[in-house]
Amino acid sequence: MRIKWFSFVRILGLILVLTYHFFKIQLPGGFIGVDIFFTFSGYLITALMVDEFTRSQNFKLVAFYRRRFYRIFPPLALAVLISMPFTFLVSPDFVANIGKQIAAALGFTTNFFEIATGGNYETQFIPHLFVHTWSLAVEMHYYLFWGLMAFLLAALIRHHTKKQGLYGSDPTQNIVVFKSWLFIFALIFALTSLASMIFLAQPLKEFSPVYFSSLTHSFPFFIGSGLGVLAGIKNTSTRFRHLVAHFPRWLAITTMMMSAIVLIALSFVFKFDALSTYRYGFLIASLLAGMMIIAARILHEKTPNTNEPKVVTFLADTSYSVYLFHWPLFVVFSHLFSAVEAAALTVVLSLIFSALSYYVLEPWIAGKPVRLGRHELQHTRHHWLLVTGQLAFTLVIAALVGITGYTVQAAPQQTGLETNLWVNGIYQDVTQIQTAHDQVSSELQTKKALAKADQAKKSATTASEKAAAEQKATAASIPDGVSIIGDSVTLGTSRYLSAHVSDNAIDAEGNRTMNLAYNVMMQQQQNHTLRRDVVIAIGTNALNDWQLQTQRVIDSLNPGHRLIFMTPHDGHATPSYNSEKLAVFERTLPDKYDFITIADWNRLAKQHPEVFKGTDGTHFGGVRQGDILFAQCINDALAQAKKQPVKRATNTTMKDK
Amino acid sequence: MASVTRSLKMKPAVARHWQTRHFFEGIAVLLIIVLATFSLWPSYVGHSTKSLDGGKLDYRGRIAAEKFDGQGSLRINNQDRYTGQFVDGRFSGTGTFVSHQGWQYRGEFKAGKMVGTGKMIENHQIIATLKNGELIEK
Repeated sequence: MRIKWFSFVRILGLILVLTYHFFKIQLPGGFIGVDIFFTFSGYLITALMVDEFTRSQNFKLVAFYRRRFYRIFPPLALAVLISMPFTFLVSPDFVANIGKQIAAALGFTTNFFEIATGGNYETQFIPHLFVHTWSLAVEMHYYLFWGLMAFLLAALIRHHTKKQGLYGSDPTQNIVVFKSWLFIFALIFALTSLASMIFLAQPLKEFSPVYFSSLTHSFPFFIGSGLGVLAGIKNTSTRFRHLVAHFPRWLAITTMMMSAIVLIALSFVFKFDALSTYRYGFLIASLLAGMMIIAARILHEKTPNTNEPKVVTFLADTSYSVYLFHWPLFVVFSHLFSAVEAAALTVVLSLIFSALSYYVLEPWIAGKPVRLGRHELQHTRHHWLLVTGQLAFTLVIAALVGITGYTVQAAPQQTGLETNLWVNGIYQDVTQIQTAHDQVSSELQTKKALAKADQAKKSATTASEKAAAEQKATAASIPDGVSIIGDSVTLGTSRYLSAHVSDNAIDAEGNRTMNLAYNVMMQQQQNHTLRRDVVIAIGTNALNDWQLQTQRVIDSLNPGHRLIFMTPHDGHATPSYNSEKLAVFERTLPDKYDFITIADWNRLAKQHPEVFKGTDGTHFGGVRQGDILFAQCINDALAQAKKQPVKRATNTTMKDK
Repeated sequence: MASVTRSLKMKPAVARHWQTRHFFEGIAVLLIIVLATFSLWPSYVGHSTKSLDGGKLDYRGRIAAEKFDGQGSLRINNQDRYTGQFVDGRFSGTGTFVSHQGWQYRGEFKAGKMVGTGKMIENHQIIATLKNGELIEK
């Protein structure tokens, strides 16, 4: 018996989830669509349990599990198999460790698999292709558990019926007992699950453990189960019949629409990372879904002569498969096309695959007659079509299994991004140890040189000898080479830079402003690790005090150094930006100080927009041409600086004008 | 789906077909259990080798969750070597870094960073003691 208007509940759930996945920013709370699904499944399954017990005074567990298996597993396997060829369109990062993801999807463990692995940094950029099957896992766990409960309850009732003979053999009483206990169990499990969700979410910053867990996120099923006992499908309660009789049709329609509207409205409000969503958001969504289901159930009784529109039935029939197909397809397409194009393509393809799955593949696998339109393919009349179709299907499935096997076998274990972060981390750690050693050895050398210069000073007799010794002492305290102090732009190219500028030490960090660069320079100066030529590649993060801070760098630099300012380039900057003003100011400095040279990156970068193609316009990290240009800019400036004098100890550094 | 439930009461003519069905159902259930177990099975933990960055990083030692973890030895750029403890793929715990330039550093690391006290050694002599990667003034 098909209850009309239930289709709208499933379609609403599907539309919310799909829209959420396609346009997460516009509909941040659309994930409650899954809870609508959950509540509906709980309702339907429990109502069918009650109907079976009403019919036969029994509940057959294995038959129940088989029905669930045939409904869930074949479309799932098909979705996994069909998704695989599409992954060849995108980077192998998307199939990193895909074997385990597939195993989790088909083994109904995706939710626990995601709790164990999903917290990784890089899953933000490379989503798992089958993460959406977490809901199937929770659903399957619910079916296993709830089926067993119903079975035990039915078995107990039968056992006591036999024992008690006359009194216990009243079937109507047994049905009431079965329903009452089922309702009580549903209530207990709903409350337990909800309480664990609220309690366990409390201390969390990242909520995926409580979101994914079968324990915490199964209460919508049990809310549905409770309603399923009350309103049912065939077997309903007297109270429900009474309600139907006094419930006008317009009110049923209004209730359905209102619950749907509020659910849609909540989808704009709820946020995945807000504690309130976990405390009461999912509960409200499930209760509203329950209200919509009950209203639809009443409306069914009130509209005996109205048929559900065909398109609505079609969408409801295919909704489960569309859910299965949409995510892997969208992940692939969203990396090839714009969000709107990808969403459209995903919907069209998902509907085609789902129709194929629901109307052809599933009945075929379940051993039911396959229908094409209105025609049932009968064994005698359409024999050739049936055999040809089955053969073709078998071949396609075999090919897909082959492709999936190959993909799993060839897939990398980690994404390129994860490996890259790891490898760069190791190199940075090694550089840190080398830098520490360089600091130690330069310190020791300086000490030696200073001691020597000290002796020369003591033994000097004439004034000129003394001055010469003084200069030597200053020079001795400064190691040769280039110190580069930079921000994130320098950091992005540091590996190339360190290999292509002779005798350099780079210290770069993101978000470094001029005053922070000053601190770094002073620290190095104190440690005697600041080298002869000092390159300051700072300014993309220039604050309002840029001029003051820059002057501080110039004034605090010890005699014996040369200073090279690299003008900053920010792709979005207008002349009013501090970074642009700083560049203009820096260009005036060589006229004032003979030990200052300019590496005019600001000008050079503007002449070469091609090195910023596909970047944010400021950081060219990863673009080879950019690496070359940046190093060239520094090297040219260093060559020019070599012709200039170092900073002198006296105040004569100001050029006479 | 009712036909699936009714399968046990089938005519003898199709009974064999249903036996085949039961066989495949059994296989499918077994497969699901195997896949579920595999998906949650922890990855290999133990002694192994691993090469990264086109062979420039060459590791030999304990591995867990596909990362260096525990005691191991990492050769860097075919010249320097770190021998010691790792956590989550990075230097963590006590270890010794031996440079191709002849010096070595012995000390503590945490998530790759130099922490605690460590010794810089050159020609079998301690040339400096460092704290958190910085030279301690003598």
